[in-house]
Amino acid sequence: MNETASEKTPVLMQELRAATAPAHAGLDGAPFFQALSAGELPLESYVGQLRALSVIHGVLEEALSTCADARVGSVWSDDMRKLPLLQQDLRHFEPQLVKDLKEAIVAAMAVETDIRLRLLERPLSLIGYHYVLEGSTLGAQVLRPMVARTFKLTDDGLAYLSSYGSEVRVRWARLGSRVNALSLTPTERKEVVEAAVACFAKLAALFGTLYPVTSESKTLLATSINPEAGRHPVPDDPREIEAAVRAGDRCWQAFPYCEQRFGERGRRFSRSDAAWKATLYRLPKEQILEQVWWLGRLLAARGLPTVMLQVTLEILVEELSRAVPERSAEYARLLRASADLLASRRAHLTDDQLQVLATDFDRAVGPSLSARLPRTALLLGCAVTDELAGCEGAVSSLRPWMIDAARFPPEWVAAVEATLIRAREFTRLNSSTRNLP
Amino acid sequence: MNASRCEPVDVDEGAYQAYLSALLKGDRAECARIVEGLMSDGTSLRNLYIDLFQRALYAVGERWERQQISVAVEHLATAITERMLTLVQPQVFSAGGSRHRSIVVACTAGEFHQIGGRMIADLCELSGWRGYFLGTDTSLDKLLRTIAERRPTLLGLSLALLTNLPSLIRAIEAVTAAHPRLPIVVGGQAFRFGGHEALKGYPNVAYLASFADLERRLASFEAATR
Repeated sequence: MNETASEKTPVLMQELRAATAPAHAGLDGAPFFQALSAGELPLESYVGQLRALSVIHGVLEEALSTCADARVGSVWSDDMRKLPLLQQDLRHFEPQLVKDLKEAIVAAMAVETDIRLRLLERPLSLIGYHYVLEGSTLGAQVLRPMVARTFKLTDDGLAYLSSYGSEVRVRWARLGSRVNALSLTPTERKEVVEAAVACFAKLAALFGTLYPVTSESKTLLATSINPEAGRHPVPDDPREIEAAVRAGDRCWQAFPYCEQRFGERGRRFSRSDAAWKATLYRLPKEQILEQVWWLGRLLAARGLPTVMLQVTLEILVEELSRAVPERSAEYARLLRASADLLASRRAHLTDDQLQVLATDFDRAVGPSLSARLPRTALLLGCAVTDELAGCEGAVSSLRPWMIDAARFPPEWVAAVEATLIRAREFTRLNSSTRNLP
Repeated sequence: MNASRCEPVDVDEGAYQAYLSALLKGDRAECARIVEGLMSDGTSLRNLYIDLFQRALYAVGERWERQQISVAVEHLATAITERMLTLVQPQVFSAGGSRHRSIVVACTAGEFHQIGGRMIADLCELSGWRGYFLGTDTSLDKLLRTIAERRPTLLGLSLALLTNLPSLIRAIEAVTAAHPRLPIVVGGQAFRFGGHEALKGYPNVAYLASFADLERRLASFEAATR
């Protein structure tokens, strides 16, 4: 028999609504929403929700937009993305350095894993997740005034809850039409419904961790700074975190290449990475070096030459010492690692040679292009020396972006290639000079 | 005929490569099929843990470090490995042994990478010990409470990131103060570039570089009893 839904079956939206009704009612009654309604929800709980939803929406939206099954594509469009709205709200709360709730992050990561597995094994079932999370735009209309009242917000900080503005009902009806128009086998249909129920269950677990919270749950995690940072350590002292965030931003500004290549997401990683680096001073000195070189190799393979790490460490020590002067001597231990990175580069390429590369590069591309992406020759030269220092992929992760003809004019591309050739010539020359008897 | 019921067989290179390939593709079903096939061929759980799960996870980690795979693939591979551990766990707990001795295994506060610790607890079960795994980010209070309640023969602390070393040292000092005679073993990926020298000042603490070191350590308790 052909496995096709019969005409007697209720339309999928009805089935989804009926199947998820108990779980939906349960979630609506969660203590989180009761506290919000009473104006008693702590800020950690609300910001924790935004962070957890960022993790979930980030992975779900990526999955929906890249899924090979056209039926998934038929219910998804890029203007449904909520991640940019969540990030906008998180930026509003950023200056307050709100602590993370450990259990909420664990619960959000569990949802993330489930979505990734579904994408591989039952991609259509993600429509069930999409149904639930799109449905939350309806509830957002009710929640928005409560959140505004509780946290004294006007517009800033309410982007996620204002999603679709006055179009919420129209958009929901449109999604309903698309979902109902899907051609699914009974098995596929069952998977979609099961996923929607599972999504509600996971959200209920998540909201259970968001409120009520114990003081033991509140902590500063990497996700407090960058929701996508995962679970690496950051300092316990909020002053050190603030200093690290400032250092991350300053390094970001020092290399406009980062902004142009990695955008806003990269800036968040610059901050959370700086916070990780700010924990290193507590390690034995040999281990500081090991850890810095480990990160240096990791970043160099991702198009971030170690000169950027060297500069970040120097800025970081400056910011940390300013924030917590009594620990200045301890922070200064990081300078040994930055000096080691510098020495490694100088072993292959002198400062004078780098200056020659920079001057020639700027002359070749002209002042306008040079100003658009300053310090390019430094990055290229350092990528060459990184490779010689054992950082695999240091040049191959940088060169393709730098010579992308869609991004740069021919004179730029030619100057990049010439700089790489020249840098390699210099390093060969230095090596042969060193080997002279 | 399956002749390997009595003599545990190794994980052959072909099976390992097939498993790694499935793991990198995120193909959980294929991973499970390979694991089940190896078990039915007589591969011991110990060999599965060390020569398949651990080796493949190290390979995945190296590929991520070299930017050959994304962090998403790395996370997925970890999630799949956790599921594989769950798949074989009934056999782990039905493995023989007296269970007279026990080990509490924990990741200390701030350490959120649990798979190594979980595998240690399972391998202890396979060696006839009772393994209590406390999971990630174990607070000092919880750790001390569990030790007081369970009175283990040994405490195992797993560290994945060296930047969590201060938290590990705090745990060692607090446990040593409360239970001075409790031996502690420490291991994990954090120490792959060194760093275990920091443990030298603690005579009750031993650094274990591998599962084989752990097995030798467990065997030394048995020998001492005999």
